Amino acid sequence: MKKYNICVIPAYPLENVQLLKDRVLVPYACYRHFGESLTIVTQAVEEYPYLTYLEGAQLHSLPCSESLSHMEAAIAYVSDHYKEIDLLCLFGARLEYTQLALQYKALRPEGILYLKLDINSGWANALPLDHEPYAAFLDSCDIISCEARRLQQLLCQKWRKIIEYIPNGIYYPFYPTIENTTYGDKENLILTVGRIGSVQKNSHVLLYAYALAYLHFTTPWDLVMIGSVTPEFQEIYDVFCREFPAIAPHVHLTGSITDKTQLHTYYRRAKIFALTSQMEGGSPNVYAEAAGFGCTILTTDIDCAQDMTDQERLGRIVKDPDDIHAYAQALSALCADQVYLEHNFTAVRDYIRHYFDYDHIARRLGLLIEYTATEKETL
Amino acid sequence: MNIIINDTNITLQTDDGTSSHILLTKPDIADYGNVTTRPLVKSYHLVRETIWERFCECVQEINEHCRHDIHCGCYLMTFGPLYTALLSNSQAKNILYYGKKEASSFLSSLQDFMTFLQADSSLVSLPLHPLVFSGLANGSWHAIVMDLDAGCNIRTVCDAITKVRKGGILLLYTALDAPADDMAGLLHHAVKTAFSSCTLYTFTMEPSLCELLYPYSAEALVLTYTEELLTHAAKVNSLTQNILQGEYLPEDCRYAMELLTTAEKDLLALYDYLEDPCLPVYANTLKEALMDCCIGLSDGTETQVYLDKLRLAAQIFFTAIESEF
Repeated sequence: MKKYNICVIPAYPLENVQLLKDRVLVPYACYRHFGESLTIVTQAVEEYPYLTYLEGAQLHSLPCSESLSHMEAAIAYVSDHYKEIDLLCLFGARLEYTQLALQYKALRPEGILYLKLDINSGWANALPLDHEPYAAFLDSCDIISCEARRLQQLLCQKWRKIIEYIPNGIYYPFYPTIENTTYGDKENLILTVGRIGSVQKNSHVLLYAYALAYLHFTTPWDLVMIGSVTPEFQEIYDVFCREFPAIAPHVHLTGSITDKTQLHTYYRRAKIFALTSQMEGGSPNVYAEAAGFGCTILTTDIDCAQDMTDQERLGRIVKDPDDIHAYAQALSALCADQVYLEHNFTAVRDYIRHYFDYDHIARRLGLLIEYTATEKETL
Repeated sequence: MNIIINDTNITLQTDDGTSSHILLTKPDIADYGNVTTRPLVKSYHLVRETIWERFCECVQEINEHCRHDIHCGCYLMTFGPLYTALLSNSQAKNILYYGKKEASSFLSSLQDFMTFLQADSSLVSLPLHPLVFSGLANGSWHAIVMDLDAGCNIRTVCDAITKVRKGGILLLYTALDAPADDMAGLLHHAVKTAFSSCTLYTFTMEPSLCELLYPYSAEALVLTYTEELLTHAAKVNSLTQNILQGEYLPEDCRYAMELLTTAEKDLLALYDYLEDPCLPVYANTLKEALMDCCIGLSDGTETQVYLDKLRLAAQIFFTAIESEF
């Protein structure tokens, strides 16, 4: 396969933590397979220590100012460097990309434009498909992918375009302890990771569902909530501690954990990974990490829930994200079923290895890119 | 635009008076004022209004209400051939309109005139969707009026023509300088009438016209795509079976992928006609399973899981294809 010069341009300035999320990891995995170079183009808004994980990747800092926004500078970058961009990766179905995408296609019609949608069904329904520049932007993309099969069906129906299913996965070389994790490492731990207390994450549901489930536990289980905590949730948690002093010691708010080794240790110890999200843009990056470590997934019915649990074979789905009782019931049932959790440890890891490995996904993208390039040549 | 009406003619004239066009000459029918004994005529006798008078009134109404609409001249010009069609016999007539909602005053006047002639006549305004004609019965409408500037493509126009009954008319109007390139060949078969910035194309439905235009219609498109689709599906099936039976060749995998991509495009083109809206995604899932196999088999490790997925995806896709076609 031809070696590609790959360029990633986010719609907004990149944060350090995003370097190890799908928007960069998918292009990075592609770079490892068929890349000549990988350039991440962004306005630098902070230090990027995680760049050290991405061996071989270059970060180009855009010269932004008050009169030159991130996107304007990105368009100028494309105008100057289009010859060095064989594959341009965009992230998000954003109107901001319109001019940039058209500019690239005008300068490099034979170049490949890949759009990873990072979308949920609510957002998909709100997109301005009748807005001509936006429609032109979507038309200019050679490959478009979404992160959930449910979304794939919806978008196919609405857009009448080929939409590939590329889930958010895991880049195994960054998880050295995954391979030798065993079920013996697991403890009675329920884990969640994310922005604790954000409206989207619906964290109070997990907290109170845990309290309800606690009453049914035959063996003790702890709840660990990792991530920055909103002031609103801190208040809820403080009230919770006063209301349930016996349960409170079993709930741990760790705050944000940036040390990957420490974070992986939690995944390694947890038996259950719990998500209570109202919605997710695409699919949560933490899912594949947790499942890769053999955690059984309990999730609300977000767009990718069926994919995450392989139609509930490898986890459980609670339909209503606000139904605390139903979530509690599902949680206590899972906690009581040690046989399922142990069996699932291997099954879920296999599933992730086969379908959520960025290495494998990048090779699939490679085939699509190769096919698209050949098709363009013959036109 | 001015309208000049006398006892025998209705003439359109540009505001500056430099150009004129006879919209309609009063038909030479004996005892025209009492042309028919239809019930509606009874009512016009009651109000002492002849068909000609009512027609003139409708034309003037359009000119008054649509004065600032660039299609005003077009609306008026359609009235000439419609007048003849509506008075061709005493049966109730049905007319379709496909165009922008700005034409509401025109439609209101046309409806008024149609009802005046025959109370059971109907005028139906269709929503602007290129496939809207495909659900209608062939050869069932006396006339169809279409606004070419409302984004009509050749397929929509050909679909519309197939819906006109024998001897009926299709009227296409435009206020643009030139129609879209792909329309040129089709419009060559119409009678063209131009005045000021307005052009009217009139097709009269006859079997030879139908034969000429059928290949461009949605029905023909569906049949063509279906044929291609089934051929491709058969090839993919054969390639998939080969892979499942252990005869894996990377080029077969790529060829199947190519065929499935074409199938996906065909299915998306046919999407509005599909019974099963999941078919394009089934094709995509099969393509994905083939790619997974291609990767797994080239590595030579853990292939069984990908083969199982391929078997399942193939079964779902081919069952759906069989049931659909």
